[in-house]
Amino acid sequence: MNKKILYKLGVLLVLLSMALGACTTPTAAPVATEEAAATEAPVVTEAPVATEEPVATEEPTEEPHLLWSKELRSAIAAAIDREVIVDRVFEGRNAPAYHMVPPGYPYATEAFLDKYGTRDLELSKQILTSLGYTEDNPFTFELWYPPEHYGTTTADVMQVIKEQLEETGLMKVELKSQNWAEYVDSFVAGKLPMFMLGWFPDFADPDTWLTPFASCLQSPDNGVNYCNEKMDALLQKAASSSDPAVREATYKEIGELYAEEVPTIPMFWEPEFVTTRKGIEGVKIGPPFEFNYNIVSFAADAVPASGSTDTLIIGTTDEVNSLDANDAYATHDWEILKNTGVPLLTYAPGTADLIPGVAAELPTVSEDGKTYTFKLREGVKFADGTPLTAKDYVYAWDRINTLEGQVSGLVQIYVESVEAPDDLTVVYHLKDSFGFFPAIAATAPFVPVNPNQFPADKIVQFPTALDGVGPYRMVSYVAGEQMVLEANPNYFGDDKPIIPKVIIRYFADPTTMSQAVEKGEIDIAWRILGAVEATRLQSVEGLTVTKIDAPTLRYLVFNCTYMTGGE
Amino acid sequence: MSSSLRNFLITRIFLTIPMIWILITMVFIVMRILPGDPIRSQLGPKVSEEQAMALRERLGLNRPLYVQYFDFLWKMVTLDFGTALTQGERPIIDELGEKLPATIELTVPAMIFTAIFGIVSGAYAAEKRKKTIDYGIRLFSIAVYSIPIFFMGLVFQIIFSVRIPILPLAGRMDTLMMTNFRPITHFYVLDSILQGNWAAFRSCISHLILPSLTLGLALTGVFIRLTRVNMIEMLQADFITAGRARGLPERRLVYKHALRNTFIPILTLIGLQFAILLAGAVLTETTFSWPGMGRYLVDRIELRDYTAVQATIGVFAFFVAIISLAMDFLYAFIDPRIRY
Repeated sequence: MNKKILYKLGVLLVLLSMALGACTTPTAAPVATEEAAATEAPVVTEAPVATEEPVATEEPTEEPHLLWSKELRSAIAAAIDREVIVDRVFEGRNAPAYHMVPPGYPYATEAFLDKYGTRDLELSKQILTSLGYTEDNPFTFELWYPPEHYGTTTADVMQVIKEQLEETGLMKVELKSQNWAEYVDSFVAGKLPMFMLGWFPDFADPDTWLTPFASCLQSPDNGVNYCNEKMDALLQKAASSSDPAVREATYKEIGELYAEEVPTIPMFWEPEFVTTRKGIEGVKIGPPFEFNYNIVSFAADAVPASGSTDTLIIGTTDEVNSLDANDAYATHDWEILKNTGVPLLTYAPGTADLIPGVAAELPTVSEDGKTYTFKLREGVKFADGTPLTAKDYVYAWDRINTLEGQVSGLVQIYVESVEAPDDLTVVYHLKDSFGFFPAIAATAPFVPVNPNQFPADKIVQFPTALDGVGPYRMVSYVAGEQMVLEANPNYFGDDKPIIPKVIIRYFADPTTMSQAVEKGEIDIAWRILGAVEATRLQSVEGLTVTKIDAPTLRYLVFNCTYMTGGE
Repeated sequence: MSSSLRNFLITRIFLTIPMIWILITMVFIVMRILPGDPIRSQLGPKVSEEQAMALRERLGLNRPLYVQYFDFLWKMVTLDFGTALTQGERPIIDELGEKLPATIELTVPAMIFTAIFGIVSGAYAAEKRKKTIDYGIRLFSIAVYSIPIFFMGLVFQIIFSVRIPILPLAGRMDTLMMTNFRPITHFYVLDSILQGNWAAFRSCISHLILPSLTLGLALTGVFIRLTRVNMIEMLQADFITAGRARGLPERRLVYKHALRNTFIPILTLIGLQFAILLAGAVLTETTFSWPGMGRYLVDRIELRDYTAVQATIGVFAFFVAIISLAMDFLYAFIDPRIRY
């Protein structure tokens, strides 16, 4: 009898689970987002026309209309005081951001400071009043943020912003939050009117800070949905030119237009901290945010964590996602790839100055700006002795196209084809004229992959060893524990590693990492230490905490095609 | 083995299968009801929708759900856990092969410590009922029970590693020793013995002390209180009075006769606590940078890595089922009155 009941229960559960399964089928993400993308496209192109007149004044009528006008956006931009946010939430550690392009980058300006000062509350009130808003009928909107993804300070930041906007008396902000995974889905699908995001650059050129947000083609991917012909033309002009004077003037003009149109509002730069023990020298992390392990050294008074000046131990809370240069797309992965490999071009340590990497000299550019020719150094070898030839770059390009790794889009946007006329010449044919292509050629996907370790038909995210052309080679990696790098005997550069062995130790928790550097179990505590730990370590004797002006931006996004009313 | 015991065991084992099946089905459904998907959770807006679609296609995420479900069930039956969807798409079996031994190596000493320490001090408190030491032990049990694990771990780290540097701070083995250590089974203690590498063995053990102590202490409170209450009851039982009347030594009465009879509820608690121990391992593993299953599971839930989460919870469920089965089996040995 009992058994019969059990069987019935079993059958019931099967049916129940199948029914549940069937119910959730229609929500399969791809279908929904595809439709969203398809219907969004035409709307996007209408945006600039619509923004010409302040549509928001028609709010009392229930007709569906665009929520944002450029006047409204600039009223919000004018009412925000970044200095106060930085002071109140971050105790002055973060730097206010007055443009999307970080200071220290080529052609950086402070467009928002020039237009609005640190804050222009009167201007904000003026605009809102002219749009017909009063204290009894304030402009009401939702402002979204992810409570956990960018750290616990996010909620405080949003609260300060809300207070600042409501100080006009003409705006009412409803703060709303969503868990990161859900949040990304929502803003990509265009459901959030205004929201907060972070950005980390792909390469060291202003273009990576502007085109993704302000171009008609790319802005939908970031939820901005902004499109303006004039902005597009300017971005195009700045991007295609390789003349510094033209680029400087154009980026200045773009900055002015950006501050006027306000597709996004830059908020602040989040710094990172590197903590070193006494006597460690040569930690130079410049604007491109690259950490070259090979120039680090122990001074005479240093007490190495390993007990020997031959071994450096660096702690991190980052994780390895992929070590295949044709796939990897995360900061820590790129750091490892650039220490075990060298891109075509690279940066002089601690600066944003491009210098030849594997290329023997800076590339020659064709008349139309679409063809870049790189001459390679002679006699470059991978760590296992395999000689590097120009064909390896064609090989990498083929891998990017056939394997479609995570990073492939970054290369495919710009590159049309790659050829190797001889062993020491690589020619990149671009889809258009991109003046910043040298900066792209200094990114990790331009680190040559060793064909012995990375086959043409397979992405190898976790190779057992990494024999690249860089100053180090990776000899072992145990996930979540440590990675061992040793000097590459075949490295071509003059900057051979001063410390021949580097161990990266992986921590799960910044607090534990900070204890480890204090105790001397590691020599350097690197990403991501966090402001709280960094402040604590500053007062510990024998430790040096250096603030790195990282190009990590937090900004507010207007979904420019968000419709309201008429429900 | 009597035939009734064999029947009982067979029934229990067969009941375990639907139990695990229901659980992994629930996990499958819940993971997909949760908003977000593995691609966007990991890459955010950095890839275009077109590329995200291509990635979903490659990972088989755009197939109808029922196809994915039956594919998943069939793979589970054939013990093929598939490959992870995020962070490098490694075969799950490899990932678990590294993480599971780490968690077991951490939880087993913690369990042994918590059981022995908890039972002994609980019994001692019962013996010295209403004396100072009894109040002391009871206070201690409440204190360790209410301190959050990560806080206790941090305090231990600061005291025993940073201020008084006698124990290592975090990780499973000394950094330099690790560079020459090639794990075989990924049970580092076992591996170092197998390789006769005594320096590595010492390093493993010293790295184990703080995390397993932290994890063990957090659960000791319950054991102390349960043992104490049951012992007090038992010490008032007729057979103890009879024993006393016959002049049996008090120590023998307490620790042999009374304690043995309180083992049934304690054993039940061990079985239940084991599941909690696996959950507690998440916090301990984070504080001590211990690369185990708990941390792995939390990371992968955040990333919506469906296959990894399903497999990990499946393995957890399997372990909990095995433990509770073993407990049922043990009852019969401890209490001769229990017959299946």
